[in-house]
Amino acid sequence: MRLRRLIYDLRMLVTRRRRDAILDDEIAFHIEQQAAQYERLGMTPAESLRLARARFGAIPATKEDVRDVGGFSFIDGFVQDARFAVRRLLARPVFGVTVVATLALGIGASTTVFTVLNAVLLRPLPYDRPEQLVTVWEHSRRSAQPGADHEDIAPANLFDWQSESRSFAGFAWYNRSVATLGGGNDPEQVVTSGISPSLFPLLGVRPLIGRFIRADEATPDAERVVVIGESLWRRRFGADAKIIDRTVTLDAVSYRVIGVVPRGEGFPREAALWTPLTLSPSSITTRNAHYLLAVARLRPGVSLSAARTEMSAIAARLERQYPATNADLGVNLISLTEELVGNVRSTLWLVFGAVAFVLIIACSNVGGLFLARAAAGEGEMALRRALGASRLRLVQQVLTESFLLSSAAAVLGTLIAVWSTQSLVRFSPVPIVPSAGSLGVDVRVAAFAVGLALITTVVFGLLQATRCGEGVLQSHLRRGGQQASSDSGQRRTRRLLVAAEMAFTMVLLAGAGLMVRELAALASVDLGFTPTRLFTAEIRLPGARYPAGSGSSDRFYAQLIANAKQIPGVDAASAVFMLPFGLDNRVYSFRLSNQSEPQRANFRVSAPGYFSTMGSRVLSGRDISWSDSAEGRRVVVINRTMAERFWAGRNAVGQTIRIRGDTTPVEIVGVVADMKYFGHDARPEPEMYVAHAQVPVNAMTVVVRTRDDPSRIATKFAATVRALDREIALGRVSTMNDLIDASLGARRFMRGTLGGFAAVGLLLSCIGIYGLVAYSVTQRRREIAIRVAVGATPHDVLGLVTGDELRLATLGIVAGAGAAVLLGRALAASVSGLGTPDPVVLVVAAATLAGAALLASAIPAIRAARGDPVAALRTN
Amino acid sequence: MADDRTDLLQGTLELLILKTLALAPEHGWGIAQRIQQNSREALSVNQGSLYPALQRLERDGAIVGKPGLAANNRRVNVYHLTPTGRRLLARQVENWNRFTGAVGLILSMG
Repeated sequence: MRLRRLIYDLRMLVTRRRRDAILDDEIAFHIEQQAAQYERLGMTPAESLRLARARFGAIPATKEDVRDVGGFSFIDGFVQDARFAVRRLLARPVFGVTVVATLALGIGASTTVFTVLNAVLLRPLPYDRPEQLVTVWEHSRRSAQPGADHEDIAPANLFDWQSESRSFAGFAWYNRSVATLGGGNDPEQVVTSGISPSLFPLLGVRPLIGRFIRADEATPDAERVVVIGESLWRRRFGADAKIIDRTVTLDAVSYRVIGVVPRGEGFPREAALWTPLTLSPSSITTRNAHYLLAVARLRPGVSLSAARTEMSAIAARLERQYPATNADLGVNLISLTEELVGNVRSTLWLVFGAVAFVLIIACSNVGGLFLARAAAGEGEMALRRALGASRLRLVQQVLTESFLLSSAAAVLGTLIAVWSTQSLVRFSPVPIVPSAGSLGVDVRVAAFAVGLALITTVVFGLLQATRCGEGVLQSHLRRGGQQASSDSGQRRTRRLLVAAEMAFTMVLLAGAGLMVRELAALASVDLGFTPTRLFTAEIRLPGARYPAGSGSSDRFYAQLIANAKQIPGVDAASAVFMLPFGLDNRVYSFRLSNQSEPQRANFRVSAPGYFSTMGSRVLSGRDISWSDSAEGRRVVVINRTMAERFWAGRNAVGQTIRIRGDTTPVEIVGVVADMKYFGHDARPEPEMYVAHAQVPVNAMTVVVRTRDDPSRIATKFAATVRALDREIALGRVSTMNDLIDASLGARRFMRGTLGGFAAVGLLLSCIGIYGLVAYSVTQRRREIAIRVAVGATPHDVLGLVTGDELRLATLGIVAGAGAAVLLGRALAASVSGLGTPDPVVLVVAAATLAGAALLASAIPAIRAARGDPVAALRTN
Repeated sequence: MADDRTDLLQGTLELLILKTLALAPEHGWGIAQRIQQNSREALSVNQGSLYPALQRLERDGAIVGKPGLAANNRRVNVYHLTPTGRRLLARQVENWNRFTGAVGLILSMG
């Protein structure tokens, strides 16, 4: 029976067109025959035909009934419904376009965020059992500086932690530096990492080709070998498999290539080359030089908190045993996943929250549109019911229409998602995926979008379908097609939707306002120097050709500074080790002349003229000068914070300190204003600047003050460097303003994102409130006309039709403001750098929203007030 | 034009169609005419329900419509009774007789 039915259905489907034609003919024939009969009874042809038609009944209904018997299968019905829905939507394009645009925006935004969250949070690290991997840090409890719990480790501490702990299956350590990869005329600065041979085995990474570093290669007199990353191998060596055993030059030293690390699996992730990290016997026992980074693998079954407890106990014992070096020095363990994506995570959850709000606003809006249309389409529905369409059929049609709308929205939304994912990856302040550029909208995300579309379909379809219930239709027909004025339940739902939209938009606006305000406040902070028209470039000299103690490094930088000053358009030039906003720091200990207690201060090395080039002020004493030579008396310039902290109420100039283990006293010759090094909102820290001639460093950043756009001297400056030494590459070429901008990137990103979402929310809310008022105006056209006819002024009408909605908007705004404050408090605790919206932000946001709502509701209201009452009364 | 013909009971239309087609294949109009004639104008077929009924019977395999040509060059389906239809007719006739017999019994009381 089943099979026969299926065959029948298929046959009907195939022959539908022919059968339809035959049915038409059959009915026509039937009527003609009937008419002929009547004619034989003596009626006129016209009358006969009319009677025959009447006797037959409603022809479309009959045809529909025949189709409903079966054979006109689901697919058939769907195609027909789809055609009908398209016609219906095209008849009123504004509705369709609004719904599709709204849903597409919602779907696009949420899919984008889902894609990024998926890539960052849900995609595991490319290492073996990554949940066991932890990063290990020293925690300097004395410093209040952010990052004090993320300090590099002194070798002896690391080896004590390793030998005394039982929680770990293995330890690996590494450092990070920058080197010049030589080779003909194309030297290049690359990030390199010195690693313990245990690193890659610990992570579970296998070489793409070749092998990794052996234990015997990390000894001081072993042959120099290097492992290179796949990206560099492809870019610079054309993915040549014969790279193994070839020689590359790093800072003028030759290394033999032994292996290639697969792309995306390297660690640290920014490194392009890895060399063995060789520790001399003396450095292994060092506790006062902190320069190692470490990663460890927990033993199976050992929890992170258990490992933390064990390590803290070891660190506490070391504190007691070595108070001179280890006082207030703790240990900090953080899971590798948390370390790599932790800072992205809080930002992304915030964005996700904002997107959820936009999605809720979008859905409320679409819901409101559907409800309004259901009410407006009531007459049509009633008519079609009366003409014999079954209720099921109407529900089917309505659902088809919703399905078409949300499919269109899903397709459009996915396109938006593809586009905005790419922009998000490009503009995000933090690298979003290890292998950037490979982030595509994946299948799960597509499913997410389609799921959203489907849910929307069903919910709104049913929402509308409930409007073709028997009772509604009959009451509608009884009223003679007049708009319903009594369906207060439906109206209440719409008003609640709009109030909710306003509340959510308010939260978004407050968030965006907060970001704008914070950024504005930061921009006005005094940095302690003048960042405009400053060109910066890092110049690293290979130690092999510029050995320490030879004075060659000092001569090179002095000559470079002198030559740079000759470039047209240059006002001043100098050099420094540790540039503000350079995202790097060195902290050295020092002792006051009369004390043995070590203190800590940030350590910088500067060439003469640094402070005047930066536009900073020397408060007392003098700058470092060219006469402060290697042979001369050792000098240091300190900042105001250092002076006030250690020589409060006294003149710091003329005092002496001893830096690190050095016994030579260094005289303080000047005090300079505090400069912001780590961001606009960072608290000033003690800083000491020693003279480059006396403490030569091979990694100075040259700063050049120009008369106009600083980026324009880049080419000439590079030529100046090459004229001195053609094998030296420029690193981190930038302008000071760009470095500062980059430091504000995360906040800018949030401002842009929240601002964008708030704008979308505002637009949607305005559409929502506009729709509500327009609908209410249409509904009350007769009432308004009567009021106008008996003397109501346009102002009265305006108040009448917008009053309710504006009270509602006020409610939404107040609720949203409350939510914004509560949410801000809750988030401020977990997200660093996020404040609570202040009254100014709230008032501005509320005013914006109220203004927009007023405008949106005034348009239809004014139209109603200006309308001709007589015309309005006649229409009905 | 007044019409004092009796409307068909629910479900009897299919029985009458089957019976009519058992005599000879016929198109829709013809079936309606024959029912009317054979009942001596006592029964009138609701034309709006005739075609859906034919469609139902065809779906159930009781009849099969074969395209044919009628007067005025109109294409119409000529319906034939299938063996399944013949069995269905026998069953429905039996049911009908039982039903009318039972109703007759009640009506003949007292």
